[in-house]
Amino acid sequence: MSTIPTHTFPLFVVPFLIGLLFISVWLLFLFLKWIGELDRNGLVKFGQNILTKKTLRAIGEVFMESLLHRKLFRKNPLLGYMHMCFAFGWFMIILIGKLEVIAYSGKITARPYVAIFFKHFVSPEEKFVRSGMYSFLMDFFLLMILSGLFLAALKRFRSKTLGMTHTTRHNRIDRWTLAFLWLIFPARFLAESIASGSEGYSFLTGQTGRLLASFLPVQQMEIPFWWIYSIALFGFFILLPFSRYMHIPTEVAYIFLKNWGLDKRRVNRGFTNFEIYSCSRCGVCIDVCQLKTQAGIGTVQAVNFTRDIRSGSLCEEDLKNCLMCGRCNEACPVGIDITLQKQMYRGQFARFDKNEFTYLNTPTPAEQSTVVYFPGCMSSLSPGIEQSMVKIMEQAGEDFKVLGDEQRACCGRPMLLSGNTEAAQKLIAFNRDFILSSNAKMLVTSCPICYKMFRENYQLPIPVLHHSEYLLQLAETGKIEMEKQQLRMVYHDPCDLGRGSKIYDQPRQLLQQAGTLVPSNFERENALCCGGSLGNTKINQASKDKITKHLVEELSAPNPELLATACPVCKRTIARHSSIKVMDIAEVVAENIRKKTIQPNVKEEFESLLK
Amino acid sequence: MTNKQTQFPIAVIGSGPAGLAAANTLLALGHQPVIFEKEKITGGKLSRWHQLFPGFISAAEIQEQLIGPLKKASVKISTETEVKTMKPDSGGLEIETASGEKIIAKGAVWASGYTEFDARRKEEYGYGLYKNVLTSADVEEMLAKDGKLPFDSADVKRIGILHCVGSRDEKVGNTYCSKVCCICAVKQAIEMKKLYPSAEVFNFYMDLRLFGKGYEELYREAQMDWQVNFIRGRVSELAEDQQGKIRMKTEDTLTGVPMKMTLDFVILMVGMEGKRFSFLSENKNTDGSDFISYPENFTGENQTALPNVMVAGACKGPSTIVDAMNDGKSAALALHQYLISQAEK
Amino acid sequence: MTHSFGYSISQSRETNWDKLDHRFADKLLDLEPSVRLCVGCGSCTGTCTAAPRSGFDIRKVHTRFRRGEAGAFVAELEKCMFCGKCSMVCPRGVNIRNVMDLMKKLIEA
Repeated sequence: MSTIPTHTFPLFVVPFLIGLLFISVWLLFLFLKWIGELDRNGLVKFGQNILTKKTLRAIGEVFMESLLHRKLFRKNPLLGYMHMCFAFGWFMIILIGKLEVIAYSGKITARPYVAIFFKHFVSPEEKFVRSGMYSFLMDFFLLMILSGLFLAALKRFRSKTLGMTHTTRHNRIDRWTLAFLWLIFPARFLAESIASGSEGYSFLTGQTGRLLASFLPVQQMEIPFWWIYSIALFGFFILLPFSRYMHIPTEVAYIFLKNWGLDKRRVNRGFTNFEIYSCSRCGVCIDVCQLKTQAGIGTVQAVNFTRDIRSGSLCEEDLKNCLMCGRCNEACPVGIDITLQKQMYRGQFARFDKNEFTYLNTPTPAEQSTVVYFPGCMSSLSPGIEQSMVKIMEQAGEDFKVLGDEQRACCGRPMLLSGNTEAAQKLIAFNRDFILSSNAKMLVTSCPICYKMFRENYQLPIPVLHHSEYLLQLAETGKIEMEKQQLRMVYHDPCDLGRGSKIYDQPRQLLQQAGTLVPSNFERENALCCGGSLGNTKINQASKDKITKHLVEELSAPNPELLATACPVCKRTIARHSSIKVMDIAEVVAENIRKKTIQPNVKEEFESLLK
Repeated sequence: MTNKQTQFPIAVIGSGPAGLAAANTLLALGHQPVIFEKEKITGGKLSRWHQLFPGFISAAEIQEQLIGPLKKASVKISTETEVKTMKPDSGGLEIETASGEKIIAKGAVWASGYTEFDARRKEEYGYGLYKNVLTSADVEEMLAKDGKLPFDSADVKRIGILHCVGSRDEKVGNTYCSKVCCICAVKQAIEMKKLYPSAEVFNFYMDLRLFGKGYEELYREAQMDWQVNFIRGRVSELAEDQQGKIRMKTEDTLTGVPMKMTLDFVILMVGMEGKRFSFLSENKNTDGSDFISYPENFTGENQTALPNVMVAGACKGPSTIVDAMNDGKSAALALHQYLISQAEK
Repeated sequence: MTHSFGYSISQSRETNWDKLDHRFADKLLDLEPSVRLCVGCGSCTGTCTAAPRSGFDIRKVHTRFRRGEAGAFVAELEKCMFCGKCSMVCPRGVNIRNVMDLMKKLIEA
């Protein structure tokens, strides 16, 4: 075979060029439109950070996540490898292909299709600088992609092999796009093999080419196969924006925006779009969702949510049927903050946003103290927690006041979770004034729901501590001491404290001073939701019970004598189904606190008097 | 009847009202009952009660009436003996106790009774945390023992009695009505007025279920003669103030406004819970409770999975003392009939 | 406007079942069947975070709604803080927050 000049224009490149043009224009248009929809704050961040180190960090993240799929590797190496094959392999083929053309022609301005159909233009006999290395690498990465393709086909038919119990169903466009995607590389492989004929480029296409040439009229077959390859690319590029594979370009853009620090807490249409379209609909979120695995509710998972938004068929019933536990956030390989997205979209169905709370005029000033203790609404249904806290704080000699439940309002998180952002703001304003009127130096709460709200939405000038953090501080500064018991405990991470606020270690350190912690199968980020979540307004009692029973089974499996948790809602919910005693961390501490006979400062005074 | 069968006794499991009534009936029918009691003393829950509704008859007196004839006939009562399991045997029935002892009996009446709802599970009422919150069972025991409660009458101005604690409450897993608490609450309200004549007594209820003979009359008496106040509202929360007084929150549903009240002490009317014994019944109750299920077909209501074991009393579901005693008699009779029919074969 | 109805003055003197519009109530029972289980015990109102200061009575509001007086208490619903304590204490397992949401939805529709 002879070399064809690279400035010639074979007809089969036309579909590819149309596809490439279409997708470039389309993505450019869409991304610019979304960026235009960013709010002022988002635009400012965009401008400020684009030329900083953050961009480099984003590039690093794109490499690790979008190309190498590190998070997926962690979930399941085989699944990770499959994705890496496609993403990294394809990326390398584009990159090396480009370098190959440059090395061959000595120019960087070669037409875009030359690299794609390189082996049509350049015959195997023609040698140039490091041509052997290029051929080898191109074959190597092609093989990599083909191996990924093999796994992908396996996954389609037996998803359990790749560690997924449930997987998503493709719609028609997805299926067509997938068909084109699967066609691209086998077509390329065959086209290149045929083009190499009996001469051979490298180990893969060369050997195959020789084999094919031995019994097929390869000369006549080359052009048709280039056509198939080109049409496959065309089909993939044209359908991509309307299929789940839109996640490939969007995810890259999303990683940049994320690293530039765009504020996710705001209702931010532009940014939301980037996040929603970054979903690859891989379905990892289905297996972690307890509504699916325990209650058999299969229409509310994160994949369904992003699909419904893209297709404009989001329904209120499904949107509000979510525990907002954040297990899908942890599992998502793209790192989409689904709970926050749902919270924002719930705003469309918010019916309490006009609530004025006129009865909450100005708060009566709180009593003055150094520490102000906010038990939270739910704690009044579990009075043992507040009582234990008071006992501990008295023993520790703290200057504290409890905010009475008739003076304070709800923290506002249930309102916020239900999408009633404005109403939440009014409750925040009221409580904030009330808390600050105590002139306290520190706010302590027993409720993880309130805690997350105080930390993220109150902008308080004083530190906010969950009681597990606070009690650990008291223990570490020697203000309280605990008697270590022969007590086997399992600790349950509440959603808003663990995944929601990343408080994992403090409760454990505290409990270890009172007894022995034994691990369950669901610890830390992987902890299960108790089912009592305030985030779900649609779930019925029977479904809740299924979720709780499963959790209790799991927590009871290591045969502990006590189930400890740090949330009044979790405590009540678990206690309902548990035959093992359930206690809040404050109650565990209060029960095992060592009585001090003489306060240290009193002792010093006494000693100085003796002198 | 064959000689072989007559030589074996009939086991009665539980020495509460149902068990004692069954033993008395068996004795009268010419059988030889032996009684197994898990606890140290006989009488079951009856031994802890003070006076019984609706007539304020002394519980000790009733117990004496039940146990007297048995003592006279030298019926063997093994206390601190828990029956673990029973299985069919050539002699009739092999009974195994917790200590591993095996006894052969020709049949048995199972009357193991109920357990009281553990009021600590209803966290918002603070039982076990607040010193001025008692259960109805605590009150009975204190009155039976000392005739009084540990509160000085000068300090007691207002007493709250909360109905339906652990009953009709999906949140503690008991959806059924415990049946006796309403009338017991009316009775205890009157007792409180007798102990603390100057105090006000408030009963907080969601429905009053006063179905038995003389119950409605006692309700009227409580209202008219003892000035007991009945407020329709299930109490939501109790909190303790610095003086140890109890702050109660509910809704006064008849006026339709939230209500709060400070109470000097509170009595929680705890409901009944069952204990399941898998060898006695294969089926689960429709209400999800742990009581022993039985064929609810009007004629076989004492039957169990074993043909020569009859079940009686509050182990089948919430029951008054009178009903438990009648059920004990009924079970004894049913067993007697079964044994005769077997002998005739 | 429903807001012009005061809490006490707008109440009709009797519940005339024949003349009331029961469509909203039927729809509510349809959408959240657990509401049928309500026995009117008042636990929800008793525990309500908004009740002590505002007199908000969810039990009564929802009962009036079910009787067919959907519009009469709509202003009352704006006192709710959505904290969820009512659902936590309900002895009948009624999903009260969803009832709140649905009542508002049905009235506004």
